[in-house]
Amino acid sequence: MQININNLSKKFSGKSALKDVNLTIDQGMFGLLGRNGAGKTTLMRILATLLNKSSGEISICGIDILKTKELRKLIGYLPQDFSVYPNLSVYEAMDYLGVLSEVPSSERKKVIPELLKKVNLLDCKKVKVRALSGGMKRRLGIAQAILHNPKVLIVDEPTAGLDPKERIRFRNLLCELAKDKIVILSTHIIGDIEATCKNIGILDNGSLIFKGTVQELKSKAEGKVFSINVNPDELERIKQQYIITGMIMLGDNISIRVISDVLPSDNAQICEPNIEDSYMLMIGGIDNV
Amino acid sequence: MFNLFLKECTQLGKSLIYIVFICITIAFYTTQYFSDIKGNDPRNSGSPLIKPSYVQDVEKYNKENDMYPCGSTNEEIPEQIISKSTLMMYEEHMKGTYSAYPHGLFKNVKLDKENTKKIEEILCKITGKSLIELEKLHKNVNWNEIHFSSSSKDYSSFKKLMEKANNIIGEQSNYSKENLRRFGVRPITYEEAMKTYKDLIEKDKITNGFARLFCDYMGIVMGLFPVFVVFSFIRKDRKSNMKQVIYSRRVSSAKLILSRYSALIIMMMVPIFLLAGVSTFQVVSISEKLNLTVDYFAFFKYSIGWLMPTLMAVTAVGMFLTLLTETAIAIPVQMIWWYSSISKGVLIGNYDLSQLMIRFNTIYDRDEFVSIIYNIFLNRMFFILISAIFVVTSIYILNLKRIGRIDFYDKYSKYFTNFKGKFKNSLSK
Repeated sequence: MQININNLSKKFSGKSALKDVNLTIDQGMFGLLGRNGAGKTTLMRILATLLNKSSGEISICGIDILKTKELRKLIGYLPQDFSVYPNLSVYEAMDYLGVLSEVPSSERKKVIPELLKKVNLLDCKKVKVRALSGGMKRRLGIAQAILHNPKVLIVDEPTAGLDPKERIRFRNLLCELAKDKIVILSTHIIGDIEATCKNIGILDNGSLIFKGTVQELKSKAEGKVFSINVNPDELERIKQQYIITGMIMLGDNISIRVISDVLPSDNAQICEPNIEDSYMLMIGGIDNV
Repeated sequence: MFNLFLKECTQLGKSLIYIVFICITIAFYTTQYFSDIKGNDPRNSGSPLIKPSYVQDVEKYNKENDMYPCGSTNEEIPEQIISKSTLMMYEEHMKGTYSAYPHGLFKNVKLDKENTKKIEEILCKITGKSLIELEKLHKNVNWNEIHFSSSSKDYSSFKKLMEKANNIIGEQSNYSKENLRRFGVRPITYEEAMKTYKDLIEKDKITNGFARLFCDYMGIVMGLFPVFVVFSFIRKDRKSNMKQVIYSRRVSSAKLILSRYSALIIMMMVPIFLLAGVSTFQVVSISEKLNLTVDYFAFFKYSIGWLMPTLMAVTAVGMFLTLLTETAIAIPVQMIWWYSSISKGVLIGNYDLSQLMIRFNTIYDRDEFVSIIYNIFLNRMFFILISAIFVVTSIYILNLKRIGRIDFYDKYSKYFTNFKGKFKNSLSK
């Protein structure tokens, strides 16, 4: 079970959305990071067979991306702005999408309650979709995406707009699903990736600027993250010189976290890098975001 | 596929637009067809279900009852046409307005001085009298006793003058070639009435005649209103933001389009079948009292053969345009198509391939119907073929859309938005 992407490019009216992307994704959770407009959704939609590539090759579990009919059996997709006909109940929506996935009637009757239980929506099966909260809708989204038991699950920005409790619940659900599937999670929320993914890729301006494990990403910033206590007057000068990845008020002073190749000041202390530091280092700081 | 078809039917059945469609269909049935056939109740004199009775002296009967025993019909009788049409022209001239029916719609025409003068000249030429003379005669003398000029006695030169008048007043005035015939009236003979009666009762078994009238009226509904249901139903994926969820699923484009198309057709035929059932029941209840036999399936047969091709074509074209553009363009397109078909104003006798709706506004004229049935068949086959072409094209379009090869709406929506913005700005100014 593997996804192979070789020299993938995608252009929209002459403008490159993806440039020569090479990537291999194995079973488990794979996180795709990148700022808004980096090309994450384009890559997701190409993998979900919803968009054709301009050039390059992709195979999913050994099947070429052009064989859409075969691939759609293998892929479950939760789009960024998931929605269902609002007048359907939760169960009716699942049933309808199950029919579209060609899940036999007897299997739907068995699987739908199980999935709704898994995403904690069984008690709401008769509730109209229009009455669901944002978090409930996303959970319904994940349930519909795995309704036909796909080998590959593509989840685009699933936690955006969710409260912390819902976000944690959602992450746990995805981790559970990744035990026997390839789950591709696209997000610009670094915390989601750190908590769930072993392997990650970072897209920037359509190019894949990093691929590897979370540890490998962290190691990119090894020895380059410093903590400094500064007074507010100095802050502006430091901002212009270094990439700042964190800031905490300490009485009259501010404790800042900076990325620098050299010791930024005498009172600076070297810190253990986290994934956010490395990500900021990779994409060139907050000004570029 | 049947499972998906049922799901689409259920969704369509629950939609507001479908309920509105049913209400419009029932309202049209009640106000048009039902009010038209009320006069056929056998308790009314002149009901087509009552055997005509023989009257020896038709003219005497006419004088006593102000009607002919078997009714009347239009015929090209030059004496009547010259006299009655000239009277109408004179009266319209005096009133200052002329009636015309361009594209089947009534229009009150007012002429300028120059054209009014031309009409005066035509009136004088036909009657051989001046306008002052005509005014006196109109007040005092029975118009029929006016001696028309020698030129008008020649019927062909009269028709030329009337054609000239028609050109001045405008399309489809009372003096057009087709409308002039209506001024000639003669009584229907007993033999003719008996033939019509026998055709309706024995050959048409009553319901076949009534079914043609039913389809004539319901065809008007089927030629326009389904497009609103189709637009709303096909655009629901974009409206509910469900396109990607549906497009990424295993179901084939052919299966999806065919399920939705057949759901639209069947569901929109449901009110037609229900009204066909009601109409059959009405005719059966009357015919039972008169001990007449009826064809119980006539309304259903005609609905399928006559109305369904119209519905199929409207649905297929509407579905294609909505799928391609994801805009409401199908609605104005259908309105133009419907209007161009109905505005010809011909109630019986136009069955060329451009006629979306088949008109046959009578329960009689079986012979006429039989003589043109092949043309009707060709017309209906043509629209079934059109439907098939648009359904296949829709499948192809959906296939391309599912892999992101075309997205007309995303590509051109900014132009619509710009246009809307400009329009709103111009309104606010």
